Amino acid sequence: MRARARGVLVACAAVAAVWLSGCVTTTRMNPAFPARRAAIKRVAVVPPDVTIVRLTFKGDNALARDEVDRAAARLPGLIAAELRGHGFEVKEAGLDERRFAGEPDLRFRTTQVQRAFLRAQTDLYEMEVIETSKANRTEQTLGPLVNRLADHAAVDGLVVSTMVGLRKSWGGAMKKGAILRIGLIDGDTGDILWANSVVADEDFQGEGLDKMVKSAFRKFPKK
Amino acid sequence: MRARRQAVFIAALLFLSGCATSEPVPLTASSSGYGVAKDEQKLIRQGSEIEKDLRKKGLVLQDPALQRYVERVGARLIPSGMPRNIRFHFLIIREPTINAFSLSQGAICVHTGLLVRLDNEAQLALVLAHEIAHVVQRHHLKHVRNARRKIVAAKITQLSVAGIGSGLIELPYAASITGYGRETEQEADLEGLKLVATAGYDVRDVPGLFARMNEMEEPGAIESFFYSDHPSNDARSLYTRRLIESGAVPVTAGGAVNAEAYRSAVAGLTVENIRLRLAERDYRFALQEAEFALMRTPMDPMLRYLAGEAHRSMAEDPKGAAREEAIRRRARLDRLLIERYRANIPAEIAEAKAAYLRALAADERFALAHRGLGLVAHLQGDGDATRRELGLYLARGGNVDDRRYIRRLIKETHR
Repeated sequence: MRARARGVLVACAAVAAVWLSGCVTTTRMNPAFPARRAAIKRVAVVPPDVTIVRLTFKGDNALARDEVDRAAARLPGLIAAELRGHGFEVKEAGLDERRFAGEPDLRFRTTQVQRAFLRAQTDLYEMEVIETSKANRTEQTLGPLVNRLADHAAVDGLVVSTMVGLRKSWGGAMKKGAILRIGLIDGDTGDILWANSVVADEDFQGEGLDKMVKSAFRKFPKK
Repeated sequence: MRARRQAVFIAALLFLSGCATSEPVPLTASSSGYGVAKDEQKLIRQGSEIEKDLRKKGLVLQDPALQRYVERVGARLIPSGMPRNIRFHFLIIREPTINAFSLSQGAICVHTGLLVRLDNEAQLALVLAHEIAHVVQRHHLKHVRNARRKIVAAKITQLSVAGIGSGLIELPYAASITGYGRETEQEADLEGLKLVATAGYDVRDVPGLFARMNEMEEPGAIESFFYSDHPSNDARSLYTRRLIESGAVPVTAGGAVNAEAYRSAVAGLTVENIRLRLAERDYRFALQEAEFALMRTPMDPMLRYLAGEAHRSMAEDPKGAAREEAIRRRARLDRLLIERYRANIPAEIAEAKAAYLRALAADERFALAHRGLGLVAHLQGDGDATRRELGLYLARGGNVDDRRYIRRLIKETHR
């Protein structure tokens, strides 16, 4: 028994060592991204797809709509700030909700792009953490679906994001956690050029959300 | 004596646990008290929020002619004596899956995927009437009060994965989409059939609806939409036939079926739905729908092209095609299955090419066929053919949506 426990400890230590040595990552990068990076100058942030569920003891779980609205309203601004910091020109008014009024078809395209990104995550994040060498050879695409949005916003790239949060409010301390995934999409090909996934096991509103977005872009490739 | 004591004990337990709530009466009862109880108010509020989200996400189809048609059919089915504070209204949801659902504030939602599978207006009437019956019988409220919550809690996760549920579905309504269980669904079938008969439709053809559903095997594991918790389509077909034969539902002599009117109303939806299937990576379904529609209009170049698109997509994305099959068969996506689809790439390419050529044979000016041929050539690494066919597509297609994508591919062939 003791030997088995020691084995587990050794395995954990090995994983931790690999993690700390920077050989594994949560980011994903298309091998063509370094070459294409220069061509992606202007980007637009697609309205995020946010789901936050409040778990209750009775099982009468419900969407925390107030929290969903708050996170969905703040995320584009936070993401835009990070993108500017990395040298992109961000077209803020490109794809915000106000522009969709009276354009249900365009809004539907946006929903399709969000869903395509969600679907792509099945392959993208089969494993949350993978070896960096493998992560930098990630080839996933949303295809020509993105062209209409990129045309509409007159940009070279789109930034899509999904956030899923949970909040549990019984059994002593409140527990919460969220996972935020962000992807930079080539406006021509729909290729996912770069993506990252960040997990928070604490506050994911307020400063917590700021931290998550900052953390997602921390390893964004330099120009 | 002992049994009596036990009964009293159980009743006391139920009372103390708050489960002994009075059973809600149908909305047609004069004393229904619709919207009075707090839990029902919450359901109505949640239903309105879901509807708002569906609209906001552009998931409600904007097709005025089809909308008017569905509303006209639906209006005939609403029973008299409804409370004044409920307004039934009908939404066509841009979802390729075969499903319909209802919300407590009176929204009756039907997926485009279901509309394209129906044969006639009488069948549409049953779908709408079934959902109206859920609202009239207050099944949402009964469900919440009867608390099948644990099962539903598991389902909401599936719905989130499936897409539509992403940020949309409140827990009590997950059952509206996945099904309530045998007894409740049978009640909705019975009450729905009565509404259909009262509206003057010929109910004898209606059970055929369930047989039509069986023609297409829906993926059950993730895409848990169409009546997955409902009794099987065969059981429902049998049940509804028995209701009609036993006289439980009156048969109107010379009742309406309106097959022609229905087909003409939904004619434009088939192409839209196949495109939705392709976008959802449901390649095999897209192919089935295209082939099914081609049986009716075999010379349609668009349907021939879309059949080619389904084959090409399977060649381009063998893992996605393997995943679709795994979901349909409720099996694990393993390497063997993916390899099988990879090995099939040449065959899929050949099928795609043949389908695009058939589209051109039907209409030599059909620009999308050149798009398909160009993309197939690109898959095969044939730069000359890629440039030639995609060039033709851009020249003949006018202001196409995917111009940027196509230009990039052409540019890549020059490298």
